[in-house]
Order: sequence, then C-alpha cells, then structure tokens
Amino acid sequence: MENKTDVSLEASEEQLLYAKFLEVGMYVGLAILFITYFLYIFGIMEPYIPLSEVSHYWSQNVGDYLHEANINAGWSWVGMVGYGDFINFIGIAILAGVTIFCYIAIIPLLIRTGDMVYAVIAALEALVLILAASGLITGGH
Amino acid sequence: MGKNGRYAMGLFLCCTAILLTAAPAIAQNGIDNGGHSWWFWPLLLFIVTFVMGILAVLGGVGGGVLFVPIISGFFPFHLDFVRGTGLLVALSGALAAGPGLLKANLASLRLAIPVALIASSCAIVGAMIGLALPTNVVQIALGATILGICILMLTAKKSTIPDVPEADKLSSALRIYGVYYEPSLKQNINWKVHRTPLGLCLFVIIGVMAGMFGLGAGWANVPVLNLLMGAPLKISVATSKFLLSITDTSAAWIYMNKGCVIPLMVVPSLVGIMLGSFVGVRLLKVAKPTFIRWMVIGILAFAGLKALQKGIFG
Amino acid sequence: MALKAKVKDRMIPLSNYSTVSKDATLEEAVMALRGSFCELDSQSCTEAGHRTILAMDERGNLAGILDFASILRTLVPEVAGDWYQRLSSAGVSTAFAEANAEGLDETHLDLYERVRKNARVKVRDIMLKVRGTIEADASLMDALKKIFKNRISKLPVMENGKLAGVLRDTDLFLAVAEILEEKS
Repeated sequence: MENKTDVSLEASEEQLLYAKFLEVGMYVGLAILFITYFLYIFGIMEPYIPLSEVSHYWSQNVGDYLHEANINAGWSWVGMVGYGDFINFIGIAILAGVTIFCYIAIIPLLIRTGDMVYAVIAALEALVLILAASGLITGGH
Repeated sequence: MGKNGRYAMGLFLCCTAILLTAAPAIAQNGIDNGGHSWWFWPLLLFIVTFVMGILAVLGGVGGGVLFVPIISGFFPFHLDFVRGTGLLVALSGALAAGPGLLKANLASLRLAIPVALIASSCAIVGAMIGLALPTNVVQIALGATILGICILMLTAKKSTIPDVPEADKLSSALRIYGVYYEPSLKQNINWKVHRTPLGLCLFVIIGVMAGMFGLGAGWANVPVLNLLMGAPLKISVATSKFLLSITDTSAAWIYMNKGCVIPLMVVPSLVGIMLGSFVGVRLLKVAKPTFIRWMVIGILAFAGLKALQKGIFG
Repeated sequence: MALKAKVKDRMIPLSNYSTVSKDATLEEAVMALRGSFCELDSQSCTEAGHRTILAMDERGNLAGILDFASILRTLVPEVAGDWYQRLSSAGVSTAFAEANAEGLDETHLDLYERVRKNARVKVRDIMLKVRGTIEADASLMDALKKIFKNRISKLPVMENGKLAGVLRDTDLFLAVAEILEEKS
C-alpha cells in the first residue's frame, strides 16, 4: 500500500497554479477572439481576403490555398494583424499557447518542492510544445 | 421529467431531425450553386456545431470526435481546414473544463504530465504524417478509424473503481496516485495505477491518431486510463479531458503553422459547440433519452462511411 | 451622549459571539453559527442571532470572518455562486457528459449530497478577509465612520492586541436611535 499520509483530497499547489493560469489564459484568449471576430465580420477592419472570397479557398487543400491567396504559412500572420481576418490569430494563438505558459509556470514550483523528475518532464513538455509552436517542424504535401 | 420538459425535449428532437435531414441537402445545394453570401457557410457551421454540442452531451460522445467526420463529410471544406478547426474546437472544450477539473482534484496533474509528454510528441508526428499523406489516403484511414470508434463506443465497458492490486514500479516512482471522495459510497477512495509502461505505449498510438485526424481523443484516453491502467472512472474521465488540452495544443500548432486555420470557420464552430454543450448540460438535467446515444453513434458511423466513400471514390 | 460612548461599552464581548477554528470544516462553522440562533434545549430558533462567525487561528487571533453570503455561495454555488463559478461547473459537467458518465458529475448529485459535500471544505479556504478592526477604547463615532468607510457590517474589537469582541452595525444603529429617544 502506498504511503497514505502524503495523499490529500485537496489538489496540489502546482495543480492549482496550473489551473489558475489555464483559466485566465482561456478567458483572455476567448475574449480577444470574440472582439477580433466582431471587427472582422462587421468589416470594421479590412480583411486580407475579402469575406465574399473566402469560400473559394476552403475547398482546396492547404498548399493550393496558400499559393493562390499568396499567404505565407507559419508565424508570418504576425506581420498581417493589420488585416481583419489575420488579427483573429491573436486570440487563436493565445488559446493554443496557454498550455505552454501553464507548464513554464509550474516548473519553478516543482523545483522548489524538490520534485526534479517532474520538473524535467514539464520542461521537456514545454520544449515540445514550443517546438510545435515555433513552426520549425513542418509536414507538407 | 415534467410536462414542460417532455415538450421541450420533443420540440428539440424534431428540430434536430429536420436539421439533420436538411443540412446535407443544403450543403449539396450550396456546393452546386456556389453563389451564396459569405455568411451562409459560417452561419450553417454555427447551427450545425450548436446541435452537435447538444448531441455530444446528451449522447455521451465527445464533440471532438464528432466534428471532423461530420463537417468534412457534409460541408465543402477541405479536410486540411476541418482538421485544423477540429483541433481548436476540441482544445477549447478541454480548456473550458480543465481548470474546474484540476481545482476539484478530479483531473490528476501527476497522471497527466508523463502521459501528455508521450501523447503530445506523438500528436506532432501524427500531424506531420497527416499533412504529408495524400488526402484520399487520410480520408480512408479516417473513415476506418471512425467506424472502429463507433464499435468501441458500443462495446467498451467502464469500471467505476477498478481493482488495482499493486501499483507498478513506474507509477510508484513517479508517485502517481491520489484520493477522491466517492459520494455514492460515501467514502474516500484511494487510487493508484498499474501497467503504466503499456499504457504509455498505447498513448503513442492515441497521440498519432489525434494529430493525424484532428480528433479529440477522449474515446481512447478513458479506456486506457480506466480499463488498462486502473484509474477510477471519475479520475480517468477528468484526466482524459484535461489531457486533451495538451495533446491538441501540440497538434493544433502544426496545423496552424501550415496554414490550416481559417478564422471564418474557427470562431462559429468554437462558439457553436460551446453554446451547444451548455444547453446540452441544462437539457441533461431534465432527461437523457437513451436513443440519442444510438442516434449519435449512427450519425458518426454514417459520417465514417462517407469519409471512406470520399477517399475511395474521390 | 450615546455616540460619545466607548466601543467597549456597546460591543458584544467575545465570549458571547460565535467563533470557530479556521481549520474546522464549514459544517462545524454552520452548526456553531446556528447555535447563536437556536436554543439548544428547546430547538426554537429566532432571528435574534448573530449573522456572522469569526474564524480564529491556533493562537486565538482573528483570522477571518464568514457571513451568510459566503456560506451560501460555498454550499449552493449553482444558485448563489457567481457567473464564472457556474461556467466552470458547466464545463466540468460537459466533460463527464461527453464521456457518457454524467452520473459521476457532482452537479447530478442530490442537493442534500451536494450541500454535505460542499460543507466539508475548510473554513480557511473560504473565509473573508477582515476589512477593519477598532480599538476597544475608541469612540462609537470612530467606529461608525470605519464601518461606512470600509463598507462592512461587523467590526472586530481589539484590546491590548487581542480580540475582545465585536461591534455590529446593529449596535451602532441602537446607539444612534438613543439620540432620538433622548430628545423626547
């Protein structure tokens, strides 16, 4: 039987910290996404691809889409946030990125409590996610 | 269920039936005519994902596993964009539930972190493979997988509190265990897991599939955590949902960096499914007609056949 | 004359006020608070009880305070909780429902079970911060100012660094009422 004295009904400190970051990141990401979508569909910000033309692109594969619409993949959307459609990527990036911040946030806590194994695993995970986010890894047709 | 509840449920089911029979027809019409206003497809997407959100909750089937097959089957969007959107949709569902599950100590961070490392790395590999393969090959694989998932959903058992005689060396070393309060038994349940190495191997496959198809992997996570590794069902379900947020994050970035995310599609889907699930949860308090699960799995199977058809016949 | 009296003349002494250890459960706090409303023997309950309970630490110092609102928010969050508590619990319910395990979701529990489960939380996790105290030999006027400035209804009273009692807005009301009584 495992040692029962260190098992608690309450969530651990790192679990609560992770949850806190997750919650804040999600609300912020969703709020920004809704605002930017509003700006987009009501034409308050000019989109790069006019609203009426988007449907021409989404039935082809992504390679053709990028080529025909003259869009660079990866992080080049950052340079295009002046456009009503691309500004939505800010909110999307936040939602996709909040997990990375959660992991980074708990590493110091794990080190402080002496849980080096998990600190290492968490650091590895953060690296994996950052690698995915960086766009250095690509799959292509 | 009271009279009002019955009435509401009946009305909702009629609307769903009409919508589901009409949606493919509208979709086909849209493809043929093509000259719709820009808001036609996003609106339709919103309505369909709204119903999907309700059905996911009432039918006990994850919204993340419904999205890609149904949308790719009946909408004119290319599978690349559907998968990108599907991952973001599944991700946001997991983000919405995650904090509550973690705070209540139902999702176990200690159980999730090692599993997530395996699953998310493999999801990247899966995404890369999924984007490199020709689309029709992915369609066939998707169709076959969906049919497999349907069979799994119909046959898989669940174990509320599995019997775990002894924790294995790996989970003991990582201190993967916990305790939660089981109201039905009115006592605290100490839990631990076993067969961890085998479980991690299975998560390799689960991660690859999640990345390749853009599906939420809850249907696979729960059986592995619950039946194989022996975590109580409550912990398994909660940890599985939380796990999705990490697995889908890694795959979503691959798709996003490849350009497979179109904002006009993403936001209506996201909002639709979230609103749908909130409504579904309210409806669930009223009643859960058993036939809805059969219906949803039936729709999923139909979508799987459609994917096979698209892949084989183009 | 009334408002010129000292706080210690009008306060409820600590011995007459409900207190609970901050490490106790909410259930224990609720029972203690209820005790101030209800006679033990006859079980007849009046409205004359105190509306808050003080949470004390191991050394007998004031750690926090619980009032009806904070207690009800914890016991029945689906009714008394704020919007993001309800959103968060909807998200959790979705997770269980989508796994075809909605019976495990705690919001499906019977109300009584949910209240009993929520009552197991520790007082220290939900107690409110004390937003102001007053010295026992301060004037009632100072107390009145503090109560309105900090927008609270109970002022813990300190004497020589230790908690001595509680001054309620009720007591201040009664003191002010005496002014009108004195006139006649």
